[in-house]
Amino acid sequence: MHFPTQSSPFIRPKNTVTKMMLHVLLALVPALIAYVWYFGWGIVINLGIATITALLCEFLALRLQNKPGLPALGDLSVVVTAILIAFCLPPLTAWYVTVIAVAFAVLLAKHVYGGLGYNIFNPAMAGYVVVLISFPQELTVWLPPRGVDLGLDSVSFGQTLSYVLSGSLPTPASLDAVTSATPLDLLKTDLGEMRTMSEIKTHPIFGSQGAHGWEWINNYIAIGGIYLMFMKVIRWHIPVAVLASLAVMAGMFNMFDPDHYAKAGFHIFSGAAILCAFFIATDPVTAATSNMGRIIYGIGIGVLIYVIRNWGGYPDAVAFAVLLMNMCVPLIDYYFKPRVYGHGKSKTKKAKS
Amino acid sequence: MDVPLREAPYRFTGGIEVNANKDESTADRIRHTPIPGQIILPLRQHSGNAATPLVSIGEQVLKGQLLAAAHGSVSANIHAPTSGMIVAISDYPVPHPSNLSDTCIRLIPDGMDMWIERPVTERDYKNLDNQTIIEIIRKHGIVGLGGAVFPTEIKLKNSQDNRISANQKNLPDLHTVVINGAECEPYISCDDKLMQEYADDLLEGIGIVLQITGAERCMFAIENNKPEALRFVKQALREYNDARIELYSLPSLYPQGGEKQLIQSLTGKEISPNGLPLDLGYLMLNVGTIKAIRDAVIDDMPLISRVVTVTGDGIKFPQNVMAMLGTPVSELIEFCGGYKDKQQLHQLIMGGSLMGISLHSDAVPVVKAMNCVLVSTRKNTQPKQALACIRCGECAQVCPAGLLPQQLYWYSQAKNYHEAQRFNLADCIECGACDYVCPSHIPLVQYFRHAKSEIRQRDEQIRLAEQAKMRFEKREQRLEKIATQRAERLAAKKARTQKLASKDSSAIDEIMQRVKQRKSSNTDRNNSGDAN
Ligand code: SF4
Ligand code: SF4
Repeated sequence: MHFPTQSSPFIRPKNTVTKMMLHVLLALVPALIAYVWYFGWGIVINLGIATITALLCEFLALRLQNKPGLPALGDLSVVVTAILIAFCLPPLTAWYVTVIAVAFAVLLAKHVYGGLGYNIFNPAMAGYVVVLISFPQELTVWLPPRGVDLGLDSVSFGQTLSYVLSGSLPTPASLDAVTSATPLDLLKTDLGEMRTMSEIKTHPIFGSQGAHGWEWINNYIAIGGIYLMFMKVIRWHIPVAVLASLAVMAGMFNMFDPDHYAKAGFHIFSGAAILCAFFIATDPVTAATSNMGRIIYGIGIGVLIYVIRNWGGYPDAVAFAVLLMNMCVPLIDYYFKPRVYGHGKSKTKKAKS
Repeated sequence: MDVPLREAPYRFTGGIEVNANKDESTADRIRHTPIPGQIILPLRQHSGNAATPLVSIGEQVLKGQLLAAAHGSVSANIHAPTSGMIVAISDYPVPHPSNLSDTCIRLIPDGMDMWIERPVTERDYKNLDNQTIIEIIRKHGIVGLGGAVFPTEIKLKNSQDNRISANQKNLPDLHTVVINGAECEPYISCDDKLMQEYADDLLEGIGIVLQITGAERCMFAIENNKPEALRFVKQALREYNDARIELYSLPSLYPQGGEKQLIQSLTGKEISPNGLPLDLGYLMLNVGTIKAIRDAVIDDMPLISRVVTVTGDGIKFPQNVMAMLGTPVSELIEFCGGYKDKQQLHQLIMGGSLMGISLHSDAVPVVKAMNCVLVSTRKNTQPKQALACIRCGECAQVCPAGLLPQQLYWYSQAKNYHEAQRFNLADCIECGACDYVCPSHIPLVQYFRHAKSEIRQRDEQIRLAEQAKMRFEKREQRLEKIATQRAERLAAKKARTQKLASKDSSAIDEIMQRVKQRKSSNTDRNNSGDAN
């Protein structure tokens, strides 16, 4: 009998990119539910718009490059990008803002560089930053979380949908009535007006750790992140480095001047820091690759988040921090290579018994 | 005496957990296959030179007779696995990654299985000196049966030389023999079975090796997914009662059985990139080799058969068989019930599913290196379509060599071999662990092999070019030398003739002077005569 020949190994790999992405999507479900609970249906609508746009853009990009649609669309990476963008955008974002963010992410940040695996910048963050710069006002307008009584009624699904689709927020008069700033935004403005931390914290939006509602969403995001670590979709290095360095920075400044610098817990639980640590910075394509490199990369992001939040122009700095560190990745990869077996001093680990 | 079972104290870097798939083939005892219809013995079944045939076509040979002699410094003898007639010495397909043919001796068995005269059975090795034992091992064509098929005699000799030169080279003396019973590749179970059924023999073999090497210690290492093997060896050890032999259980983690990884797990030490375990004072032998050493030294048996695992989901009755070398693989498969569903077959593999090589035909014979014949179906081995690398770094997490496979892949693909070398491509042991975990299904090892061969070729070209340059320069020098020599010769000749000429002229001058003188004296005389 004759057989075709091929090169070893002859074992089917158990892992697939699609499976990894499915785990990521699954890990975001609890946070999504919490999100809807606290901020209404806006995120679901954003998510739908983002996903459809992402799939269409991906298909278009593949078509233009004469690549087959299936393996690339099926890897679901583009869906993850869309969902991360939706998670970053406010619940009442006008549809075209979402479309612009996603289209930029997929077409330019991803495909101009050669598609999945070749992009230098985190596509979701690149897309988000584009609309953050282009529509600064819209992107800081959030609904108040459920349970915070600012004397407003909650917004129904139908209302949300019509806001999103009409492309305009409620009329200026009701705008102020319906929306509120994000906690980080509030903190920034208030600090700018020379209030002290303890005064600012009396605002009803602040919860026990971070901000009301946000802290719970963040808890669920963290649970999803730990699930990903457990499933070995991501490793611990980046999340731990991002959160630890952010906490250390915040802790240090808070100790030094508690009146003007928020606590570590606040920094971790009120913005997108946790989402960044587990889901954004861990995007493998744009992160450093060695374990040591990942720690450096994570620390860089944590420190930058803190620096930009405090002294930069934007209240939440996750996107900028990630993009800035993306630029450093080639350098980090160059300098932090793991030690190769037999070269240099042995660091063999004792077996755990 | 109770025998302690120790845990390997260290952990090698990286590694993967793979589904072992060994249950199928370990249910039964090792069965001997019948004498096959024909025997095909490749002349190169070992690393080094092909052996030189000593027999001619039509010759009757006996079981155990030397058919081909080792040729050169690294090579091994080949013996007749059974009695019969030599019918051909010609090219035939052999199990080799290149799938090319190679010279083979073909023998038609007469079915009598008649041994040549053997001087002894049950030889007492304790009275023999090292030289004699090593000579027996050489004579009987023993090679490493773990896969490298390096002549064992040379390994042992080197380890002896090492004792002598150790102090000069600042290396430690050979102090420990490591017996590799890890068998970490999925599907393969021949060593497992061997340890279960021949534990006593293995300990005798270890005794022989300890005697030759003078090592004070032996670490017998078995992966803990072989509880039966551990149990049998332990039991045998209880009776054998040699405190020098320590039994170690290893976590089942691929590639635990790699030479470097095993040393790392047992000792925490790493072998330097181009080094050998011997540099650290360790000698490693596979259990199959130990058994072959024992059979050669005690029973005077050449290496003419071996245990082969015949398995995979394409085989009807997977099992371990003791097969004569030279048995066509197709006959082994027949013996194991044949193929299951010919429509579904996909690959015929020699070795395990991670590091084995795929064979294009089942007509090839069993050789010394063949530990496993794996027949797998489409559903098991059909490669998946490769996607782009997402730089997830999983490959780097599992690489036992501590490499960054994704970078190596990147540079290999871009044919940037310089960078690939800078990222230590040469240290890749081609274990396939990275390949196995890659979620994008990139055939990483294939890229690395290709890059390595390209680099080898390039280096070879550079070497050849340099040789040519050197030859050219030498020739130039030679020509120049000839030219200068000729010039010198010419100059010398010229000088000589000149000298001669000047000598001549001076002689002439002399004569002339003399003539002048005589003339003048004559004149004087004349004058004086005139005066007279
Ligand atoms: S495992 Fe595969 S996809 Fe992941 S970094 Fe390595 S080569 Fe790339
Ligand atoms: S094949 Fe090479 S690069 Fe891949 S895991 Fe094994 S040693 Fe590392």
